[in-house]
Formats: sequence, structure tokens, C-alpha cells
Amino acid sequence: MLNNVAELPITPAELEQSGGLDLKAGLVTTVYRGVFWRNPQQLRSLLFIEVFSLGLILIFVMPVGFLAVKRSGNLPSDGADIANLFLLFLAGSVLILALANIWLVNQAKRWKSVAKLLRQVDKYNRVVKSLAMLNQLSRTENNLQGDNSLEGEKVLGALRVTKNSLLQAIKIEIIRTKQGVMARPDELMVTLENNLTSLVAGELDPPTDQYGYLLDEALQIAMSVEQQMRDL
Amino acid sequence: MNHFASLMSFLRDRKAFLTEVEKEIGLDRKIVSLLVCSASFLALYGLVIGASSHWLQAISSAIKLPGLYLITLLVCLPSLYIFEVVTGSQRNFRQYLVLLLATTSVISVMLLAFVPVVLFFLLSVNDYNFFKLLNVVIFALTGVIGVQFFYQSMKSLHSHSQDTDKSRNLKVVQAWLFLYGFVGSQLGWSLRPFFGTPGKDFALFRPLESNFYVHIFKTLTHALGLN
Repeated sequence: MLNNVAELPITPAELEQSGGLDLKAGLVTTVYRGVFWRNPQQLRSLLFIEVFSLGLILIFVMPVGFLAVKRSGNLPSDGADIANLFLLFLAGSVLILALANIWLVNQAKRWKSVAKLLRQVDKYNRVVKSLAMLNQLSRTENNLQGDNSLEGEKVLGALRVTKNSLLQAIKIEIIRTKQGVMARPDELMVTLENNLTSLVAGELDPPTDQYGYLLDEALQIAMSVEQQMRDL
Repeated sequence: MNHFASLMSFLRDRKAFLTEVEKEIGLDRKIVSLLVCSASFLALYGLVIGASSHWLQAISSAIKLPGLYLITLLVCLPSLYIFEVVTGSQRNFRQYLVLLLATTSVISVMLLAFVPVVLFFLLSVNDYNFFKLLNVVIFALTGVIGVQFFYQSMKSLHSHSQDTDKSRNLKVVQAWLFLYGFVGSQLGWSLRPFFGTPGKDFALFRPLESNFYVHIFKTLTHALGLN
């Protein structure tokens, strides 16, 4: 049985603390992945954000708006006129939201590289989830198929290395995107290459079992990250 | 992001939460989670108390109740920040925003906990004044607990800081809390009705007359049969 699998997933808190993915960066990358890639999960998040934002704007605009109209002595008493005034405030709130969305979509185009890395983070977290499930199964199946802990430990090590690569790359890409810097630090490329070398060294034979496939997935993610850093 | 889970982890371990606020860890994430939770829970409570008269009142209260707490927060936050800066605080605006949102979240989650109780009395008791007084007691109780949480948090933050005159700083917080309560109650009176009056048509706002404290006194004496 493998210990420390629970430490592997890259959480939103870790992305913020170690990767530097703050609120604005998280929002624009969600917009990019939802709008340009039609990612269903990101589209759902985006829909929730839109509905909630509209509600929040209404919560602030409507009471203050109605109080201001009432203070000026123009508050209508007729139900139909009140409804029209409410619709006017609703239309104003939708307009504010639409303008904010236009600004966000324009901003999002600059964050394509970070969005690509976050796609690798999703892939990485799926691999970790698969490893956790395998770990659960190995507890119940016991030693019927022999001890897999050595293979599991290899995957664990590979995923730790991949996690480190991903967080480093995201951190640097966010700084580059925010500051508009073109050059990528040499130290990052050296770190990514070293990580990749250690992963390749661990995977000498083609995958033959489930742990092998997970090890291969970890290697593919690390290679994608390194390739993306070279191409951009 | 699971906002409800973030709120529950904060409620269970307030010490860790305050430490993170002091160290400015994940402030943006906290602001979003606390805002989502407090707005949602307050809207739900508003929906329930508004449902006591008319469906339009339910929708109106679902928008007005979160507006009441969040607009009070926005109105009073700058004064809190300036008061604290003048007394030597090194904390930034976002830290105070998180603390106030945490206070509002504590109030909103307790109001959410009272929803089954309110629904029970809504269905079993046909007395408008009783229902109104019940909700005044609930709002007062949750408000006191929320304010108490905020005061204890500020006390904890001041005790860890380099401030030289901690007792004076706490007096400033106490004075600000009085201002917060006063602004909140006056805004609540301006935004009424939240319950709607049985027998009367739906009204988005009532005319400005008297004040909140006189009205509650009159309601209490009426309920006790003293006038």
C-alpha cells in the first residue's frame, strides 16, 4: 500500500500559493478554457460565475437604485411601473456584466500558455486519482497478484517530479504573462530537463501493467510541459 | 472551488483562518468563498421570510436581505480601515474585507440554521406580530454572535501585532462596532418591508416614518396587549 498519495493532487490553494494563480489569473484562464476550448467543466464554472455575478450586481444596484429614486420623489406607486423600473435596473446590471465579459475575453487571449499548463494540471490530477484508486484496490486484493508497492513507489516518485515541473512552469508563465516578458529563465528549462531525465531513467520498459501506464502518463505530462516551454 | 467546504473549514478552525489572514495567505480565494456563501445563505433566508406574505415579497427580500448586510459592510469598511491605520495598524484593506466578510458569513450561516425553525413557525402560527418579533430576536442573536466573532478576531490580531496601545485600539474597534450596528439598523429600516404586512398589497418600500427602535417597541407592546 502506498502512503502519501493524498499529498499529490495539485489543489487550487497550491496553485495559488506555489504557482501564483491568483483570482484574476484563475478567472481569465477559466474564461479562456470555457470560451475558446469549449471545455464543459470550465463552461459550467463560467455559467455559475455569470449567474452569481448578475445576482451580486443586482443585490448592490437594486436597493441603492430604488432608494435613490425614492429619495428624489419619483418612485412609482403603480405595480406595473415598479416592475418596469426593476427591469431597467436588471438591464443595467446585464449591461455591466456584458462589458466586464468583453474585457475578460480580451484579457484571456494573453493567458493561452497558462491555460495550456492548467490543462496539463487537470490531466495530472486525473492520473493521481487513478493511482489513488489502484492503491485502494491493492489494499483489498492484498498479495494475490504479488506486491506492487515497488512499481507504485516509482509512480509516486514520478508524479512528485511532474508536480514540481508543473508548478514551476505555471509560476514562471504567470509572471511572464503579467509582466509581458518574452524571455524564459534558463534555470526553469534546466529544472524541467533534469526532471524529464529522471522520469525517463525510471521508465526503461514499455508499460505492461496499470502502474506502468500511470508512469507513462506522468512522463507524457512532463514532456508536454517541457515542449510547451520550448515552443512558446 | 468548493466554497461551502472553505466556509466550514474556517468555522471549524478559526485560529488557522486568522493566522492565514494575518499572513495574507489566499485572501482572494477567501473573499470569493465568503462572498458566495454569505450572499447565498442570506438570499435563502430572505426568500423564506418574504414567503410569509406574497411571492413578490419573497423575491424582493431575497435581494434586499443580502443587500442590507453587504451594503452595510461596504459603507462601514472604509471607516474601519482608516480608524485602524490612524491607530498604527499595518494591515491592508483586503485583510479587513476578509474579516468583515467572515463576520457576515458567520451571521448568514446561523440564519441558514434557523430556516427550519422559521418555516415551522410560519406554517404553525398565524400571528404576524409574533412572526416579526421572532425574526427580530433571530436577527439580533445572530448579529450579536457575528459581532462578537469580529471583536474576538480583532482582539486576537491586535495581541499578535506590534501595537503599543492595544487597549486604545480595542476601544476604537468597539466604537466602530457601534457605528456598524447603527448603520445596519438604519439601512434595514430604509429597505423595509422584508416580511410584508398581511392584508396589504405588495410594496417594494414603505414610506420613511419614525425609526427602527420605536417601531419594535410599538410591536412589542402590541404583542403584549399593552396598547
